[in-house]
Amino acid sequence: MSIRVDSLCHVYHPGTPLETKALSGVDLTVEAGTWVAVVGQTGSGKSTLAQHLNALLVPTSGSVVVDGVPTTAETSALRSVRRKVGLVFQYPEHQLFAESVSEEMAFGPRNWKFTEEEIHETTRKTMSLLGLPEELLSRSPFHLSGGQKRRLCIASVLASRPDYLVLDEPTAGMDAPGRKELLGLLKGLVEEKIGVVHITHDLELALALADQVIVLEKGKTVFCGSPDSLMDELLERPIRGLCLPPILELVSGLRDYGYPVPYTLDAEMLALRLEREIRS
Amino acid sequence: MKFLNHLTLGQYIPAESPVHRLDPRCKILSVVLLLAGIFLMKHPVAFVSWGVFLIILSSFSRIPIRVVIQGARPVIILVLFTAGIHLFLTRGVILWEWGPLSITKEGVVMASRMGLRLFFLVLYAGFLTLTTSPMELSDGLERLFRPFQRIGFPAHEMAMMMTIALRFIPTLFDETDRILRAQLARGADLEHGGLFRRMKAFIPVLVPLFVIVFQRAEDLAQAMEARCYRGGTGRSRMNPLRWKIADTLAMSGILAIVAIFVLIDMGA
Repeated sequence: MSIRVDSLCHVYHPGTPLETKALSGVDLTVEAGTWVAVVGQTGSGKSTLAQHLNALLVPTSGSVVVDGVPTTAETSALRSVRRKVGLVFQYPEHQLFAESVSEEMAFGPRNWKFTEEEIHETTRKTMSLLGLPEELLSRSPFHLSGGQKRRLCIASVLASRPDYLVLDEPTAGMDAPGRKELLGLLKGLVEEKIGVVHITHDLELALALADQVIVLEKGKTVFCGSPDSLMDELLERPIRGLCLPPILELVSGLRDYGYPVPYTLDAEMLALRLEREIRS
Repeated sequence: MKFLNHLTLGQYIPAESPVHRLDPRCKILSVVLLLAGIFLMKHPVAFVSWGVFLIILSSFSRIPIRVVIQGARPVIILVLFTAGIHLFLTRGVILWEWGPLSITKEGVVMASRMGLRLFFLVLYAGFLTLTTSPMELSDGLERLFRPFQRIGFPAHEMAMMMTIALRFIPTLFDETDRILRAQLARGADLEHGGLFRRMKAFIPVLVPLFVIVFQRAEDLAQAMEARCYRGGTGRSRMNPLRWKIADTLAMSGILAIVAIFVLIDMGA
């Protein structure tokens, strides 16, 4: 059970003056029940990669195989891939359309031919999972707050019970508590054996949460591996398009001043170790 | 997979070329001349000369002829439809008959003439937008329509509306594309079923699009007000249009070519 991306290349508008190479030779494996973070700057090809994972884009060359089904196959196979891989876009205004929250939630499941009973059940479950109170069901999705809209978008994708969930910048524009809550929730999904692909430009989030990090720069992989090895590498030499998260910057500075504190992303732990160092 | 074709009618392709550098007024007037010329042509074979001229123009402007022709793709059905109507409905010497359908000699001539006229009209008009940025285009139009302001024609407002509309076509294309993808990702099926079902399937695409359009209109209005936009009176411009010798030469060249083509056609 995995998504396998093998030397994936994608060219937009081939053969026209607007031809651009968005991805060249990207390899990636997403196992069920793991958290993969895709990090890169704007224009690095993150979103293009995301759309390949659920067959909205098909490779110019190379391959994307979802649970044994290659995405270059015919339409019926593409639909089964989309059923398996849920994709949440960055902006809620690109998908919210229904008259009520319950209709919005039912949109995906109905397209996948869930029965009314199943729709009712999955709606109730995912709403509570994402902390959306049930009295919202009859409200218009356009009248929700920004954070609620975003959570509704994720809920409406999760309602179809995908095996993988791809999120494009899910925390952009969210306040700190909302972000923390959402990330905790994604962690819970990983524990339930859903493969999460988290597209972000926030290196600190990726280092702290992911099982595997892939760094893209101008459509090429510049790093692929565990967060720990990425941290080691970052400390050794700068990676193009990435800078150290502030807390690592701080640790690095402290070590230069002779405080042997460990590299960590946990502020509390850093404070404790620093206190011990100062006292001794 | 491409859901919407971005290279369509009205696309501007920037390039460094003599045609791109011409004054937009010159290009607009030249296209009007060319369109008039195309309309005056009667002989179907004479359209070959328009084709040759288009190839010459496209090499001058560094835009591949393939891209120019691609621009006419959206109207090809209209062209065929028009030609078809003329082919079957023109009376005259019957060449072929099958039940109520008949093709006449005059019909063949009319069909090819009308079809080619329409086809070249679109190609030449498209050539204007390919080589002129929307900004230049509306500047040129505003300047050309300014004399009519005295009789109450809102030249500036028209030009501003056109600029905004043209400016937002690619943006809205992109937005539509993104909405389509978001709904396809949730399993929307836009390709199957009858006409009614497919129309219904587009509601989840159209509703967000309308919301976004109104949102954008409001944002734009606010941004314009924040910069004290008060209409066209007393407004100066950053790049005033300048009519150069090259423009006069280009205009005279086009005029001469159109005149020669039409005269030869009338003689033939």
